[in-house]
Formats: sequence, structure tokens, C-alpha cells
Amino acid sequence: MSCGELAAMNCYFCQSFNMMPPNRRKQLLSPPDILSNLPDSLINDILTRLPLRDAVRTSILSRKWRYNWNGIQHLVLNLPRDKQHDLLHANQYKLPSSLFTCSQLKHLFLQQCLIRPPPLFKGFDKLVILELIEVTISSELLGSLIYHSPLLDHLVLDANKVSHHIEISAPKLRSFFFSGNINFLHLKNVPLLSKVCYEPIDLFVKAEHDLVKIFESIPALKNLCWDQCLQMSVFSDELCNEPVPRDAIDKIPASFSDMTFNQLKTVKIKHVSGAEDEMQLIKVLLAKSPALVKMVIEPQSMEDKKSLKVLEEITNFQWASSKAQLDLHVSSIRS
Amino acid sequence: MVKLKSNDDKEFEVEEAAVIQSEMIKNMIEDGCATSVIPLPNIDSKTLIKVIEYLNKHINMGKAAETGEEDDLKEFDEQFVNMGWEELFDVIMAANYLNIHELMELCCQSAADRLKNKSVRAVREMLKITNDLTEEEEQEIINDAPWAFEGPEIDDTVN
Repeated sequence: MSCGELAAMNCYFCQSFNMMPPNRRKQLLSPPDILSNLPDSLINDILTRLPLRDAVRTSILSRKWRYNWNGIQHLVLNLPRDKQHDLLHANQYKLPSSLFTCSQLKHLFLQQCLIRPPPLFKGFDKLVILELIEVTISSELLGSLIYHSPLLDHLVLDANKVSHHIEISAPKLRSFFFSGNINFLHLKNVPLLSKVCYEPIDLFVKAEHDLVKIFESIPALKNLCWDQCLQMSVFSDELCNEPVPRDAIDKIPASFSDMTFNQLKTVKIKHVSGAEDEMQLIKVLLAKSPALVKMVIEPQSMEDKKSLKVLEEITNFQWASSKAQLDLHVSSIRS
Repeated sequence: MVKLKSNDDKEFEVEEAAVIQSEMIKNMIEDGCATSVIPLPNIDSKTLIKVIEYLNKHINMGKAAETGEEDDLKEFDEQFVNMGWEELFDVIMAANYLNIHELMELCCQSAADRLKNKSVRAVREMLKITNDLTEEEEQEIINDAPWAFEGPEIDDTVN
């Protein structure tokens, strides 16, 4: 046998026999459907390309198909546009329980559905990326899902319908995007978390104590993006008309006196309106980040005069880092 | 030229530039293992002809964008996947074995497109699946996610 023949035989052997799960070898003995010879990984490849409804419907084809999802590694489940409207008043878009048997899942993206796993569900052992957008899930379940996904590296929680504290314990988490009520967020154990993007909605943090808590819980914070777009669009005019009290601006809150953000390198604050809490945050970050390389300030669209006043205020703050560069995006100012 | 042999002992000569779209054969060539005929023990000649047709058409994929032949290639792809289910799965298996990424993409997407919006009955008929679930089990699956099983867009025709 030639070298070429040997290599080809070898490949063939690996692919068609070794990679074949034992149950499939058995299945070949029963009368085959048209897909029987297709390895599970290829069936998964096809299932992954189907819209959620169609993929879910395959679970009723036969006993074997009921659990065909199990080997899937990437799941992007979102409903077609025309169905989204119904969801506003529909809790019936509950994920089928078979989804929770996908033990090989590495990437899960869910949008606008109800997550209610079966009682024995213990999480996804191999999950690396979790993105939940506008899903309905209880805080306990969300916390438990995260806790039981020990390899989680990237987490997106975007405007999900959650009403209580979410406890996040994710020892491998590096990157986190959160949009929602920041007061509900409790980062319990995130030692490696370095990249954070917050879009707080509803009210701003209630007290400086809360602000301290938010940053204390992220010891490895390196890149921060803070975008207050949603709240400010409602309250901005009112806030800007109020003169910012000088005292509040000049003083660094006592609760921050022991804190430094030693790792913090870049900060981006978007939709800055000059509200007191916001200026406080910027000031603390500047005064307490010795390693800061760059801070980007993007003012909210507002009158020139107000905007320039806010920016001027910021340039007068104290700086802990000598090499930091301040980028003021004046281009977003409305003329 | 590279010589490929199907499992029904037919030999095909393919240009190296075309055949190296297969990662598997590319590796064999690089390792100096492709000097004589390469046997493909799990691909029949009918499927291999289809695969070679694809490889020859896609030989200058990179150039297509420059010369404006993209539309031509798209049309070819559409025509190419216009085949029966069994044939499609044979090509998927061959593309997977030979590791031809683009061909896998094309065929798996085509399979998914054919299943989109199809009723359970239609899918069973298309893929010749025997339903071995009891009525109770079926009801249990439907109750788990009823929204997936109803709707005006569900198509009961077989094609």
C-alpha cells in the first residue's frame, strides 16, 4: 500500500469509525432514515442553521431526533422578526427542556424567550460565551446558570426582565456587558474580570456607597465603558439646568479614600450630561487610577455652552496618572 | 495533476490548484503523500464527480471578486445544490471527509433552507424518518414548547 493510500485510509478510519458514537453504530442496524449515515456533528451543523422554531420542531420527528440537540456546541436562538411582536405579551415562548441537555454547549445566544430549565438542570459545563438579550428568567436561575458554567469567559446581559439581585460568581469571566438596573447587580466572585461595559438604566446608583461597591467587586478592572444613554435622554434637560454644586464636585467621597484602581487603563464615558453623580464618577476614576492611559468623554447631544462647561469642569479634576490622555469628543455636540 | 480514485475504482485527474481546496488532500500533498493515486474509499464516483465539478468552478474564488464573476459563482452554487436529499447528504459527507469548508457551508445551508417552515409530517416524509414516538410522548414534546408547532407559515408540502 502506498503512502497516499495509507494516509487516506487512516483519515477515513478516524472520521467514520472512531468519531462515531457507540449509539450510532448500533442505530445503523435498525432500518435507516435518510440521515442515518450522517455523523451527529453534521446533523448539528444543519440544526444550528435553523431558526429556533424549526429547530425545536425537529425534536418530535422521532425518538432519536428528540435528543439530537445534545451534541450541539453553538446555539443561536432568536425568533424571526415577525414573531417578536407577539412576545411582548407572551410567556409561551418557553425554551424546550431538551435544550438544557446540550452538555457540549460552548456558545449560547438567546433572545426574547422564557428560560425555565428543568429542576435537575445544573448548568452547561463547557459554556464559554453566554449572551442573553431581553429574555425572561428569574434572578436565582440566572445566578445559578452562571455559577454552574465554570468556564464562562464572556457574558452579555442586555435588558433582561429580572426583578431581583443577580449574583454573579464566575471565576474565569473576563468580559462582561450589562444593560439594566445596576442596583440589582452583585458581582460576588469575578477575580479575572477586566473588561466591563455598563449601560445602567432606571436610576443611577443610589449612593456613593453603591458606587464603591460596584468597583470594589471588580479587582482586575482594566477597561471600563459606562454609557448612561437611557436615563439621560429622559432627565438631561432638567439636570443640566440645575447648577452643579461646587462642594460635591471638589470633594472625593470619603468612602473612596482607601480605593485605587491599580489596573484601570482605559475609560470611556458616553452620553455625559454633567449630572452630579456622573461628574462624581469621572472625578473618582481620574483621581484613583494611577495606571490610566486614556479617558474618552463623549458628551450627550446638547447645547454648546452647557457641553463646554461640563468638559471644562472635567479638565480641572485631579489626575492620578501622569501619562493619561483625555479625549473629549466635542464633535457630538449639537451646534 | 492529482489522481483521485473513488470506491468503485474509477480514477479522476484533477488540477492541483482545484484539489487543494480540500484541506485533507492539501496536507497530503504537502507531506509528499500524493505522488500516486489517492484512494477515497468512502466516496463513490457519482459523488466525486459532483465534488470535482464544484472544485473546478471554485478554483479561482479569490479572483472572482476582482473580475465581477461573483454573480456567476452564486448562480452556479444555486444550481449546484439543486439535487435530491440523498445526493446532498452524500456530498456533505464527502465534503466533510475531504475537509472542503466552503462546500460544507453551502450544502448544510441548503439542507437547513429546505427544512425551514416545513411541517413535522413533511420533514418526516422528506427524510424518510419513521416516527417511533407514542402519542403521549408526542403530546409531551408539543406541551413543552407549543409555540413551535403552530402558525400559518408552517408548510406541509414535500419538495
